[in-house]
Amino acid sequence: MMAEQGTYVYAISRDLDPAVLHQVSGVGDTSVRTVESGGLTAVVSTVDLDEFGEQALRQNLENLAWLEQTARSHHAVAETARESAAVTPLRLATVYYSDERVREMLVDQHDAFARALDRITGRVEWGVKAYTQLPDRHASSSKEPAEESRDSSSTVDAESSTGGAGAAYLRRRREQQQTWEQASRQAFNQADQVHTELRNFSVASRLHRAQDAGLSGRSELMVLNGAYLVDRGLDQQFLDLVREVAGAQQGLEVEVTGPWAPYSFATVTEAESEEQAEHGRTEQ
Amino acid sequence: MTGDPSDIAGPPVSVRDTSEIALVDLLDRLLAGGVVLTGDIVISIAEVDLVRVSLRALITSIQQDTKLAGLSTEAYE
Repeated sequence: MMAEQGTYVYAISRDLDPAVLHQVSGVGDTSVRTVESGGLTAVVSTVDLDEFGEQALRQNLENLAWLEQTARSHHAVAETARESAAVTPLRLATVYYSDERVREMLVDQHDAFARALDRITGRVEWGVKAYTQLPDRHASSSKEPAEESRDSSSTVDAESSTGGAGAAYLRRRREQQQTWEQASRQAFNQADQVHTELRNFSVASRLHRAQDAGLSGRSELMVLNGAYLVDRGLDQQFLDLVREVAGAQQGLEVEVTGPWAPYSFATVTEAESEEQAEHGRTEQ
Repeated sequence: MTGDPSDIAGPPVSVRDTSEIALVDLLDRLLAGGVVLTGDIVISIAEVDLVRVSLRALITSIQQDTKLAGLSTEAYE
């Protein structure tokens, strides 16, 4: 029996040449094609619902190998499409039951996509992340309890020395905690200055949540994870500005990624996107 | 393409080559960014925080690696 199929949508564009999509392969090793309606072009693949149906997706999204492969394919298709025309990429794993349903969506969302495409045409996204190495929060504090228990054989002495050692221990812990808090507050202030300068230069900006250390593989504290929408012609100026403002912040390590398709600015409902931007900010 | 990484060499700023994108940067954009449409299939998945899903995937894979290596998983609690 043939598996049921659906239409996976990568991105929406206006004047895309479908020929550019012939050499790229899509999610689940599928071929990539276009579906058109009302002057908009959706970049799509036919996928098996065995892999991209609701139940399958729930499981597959928790499988890191699958997630990585799918994310990289999705990204490769969006990048390839971007060579031909401005695209608004969609969130990973947007699947419809048929091409006809995709056409209905293109008609329903026409004006929102037209606005989104106007906003990002001729612009790229740059990612700017900043890290700081903080002093150890609980450095060399593990010795004290061991000494305490070793001394407990002589009862009277032990009691007074435990009190003294305990107080010293607590004081040291408090000082370490204060140093750590001061350093992290300073780093966040520095990151804020970097962000403000970059935001003022950019068409739009958005703060993503700080990345989980387990995913980023970095032990330092991430104090900035920003995305900046920049006019194509101003790329070099933007990078120069990053170097300049980052260079002025001692102890801050800054990393730039991009240029990206404007994922962080591909939004169709204005209210929602602003909410997300605010949300991202408070998460920091 | 403008913005060649070599244009901005030297610490403290580094520019990563787009061809070797870190998965974590990609997930920031593909899960937290991109146009969010309620597709036919995604309806019930839209309620799930996809970033959390990806983290869970990572933790699961670490635990599996750990089991394979015969180590205790307690170290990752």
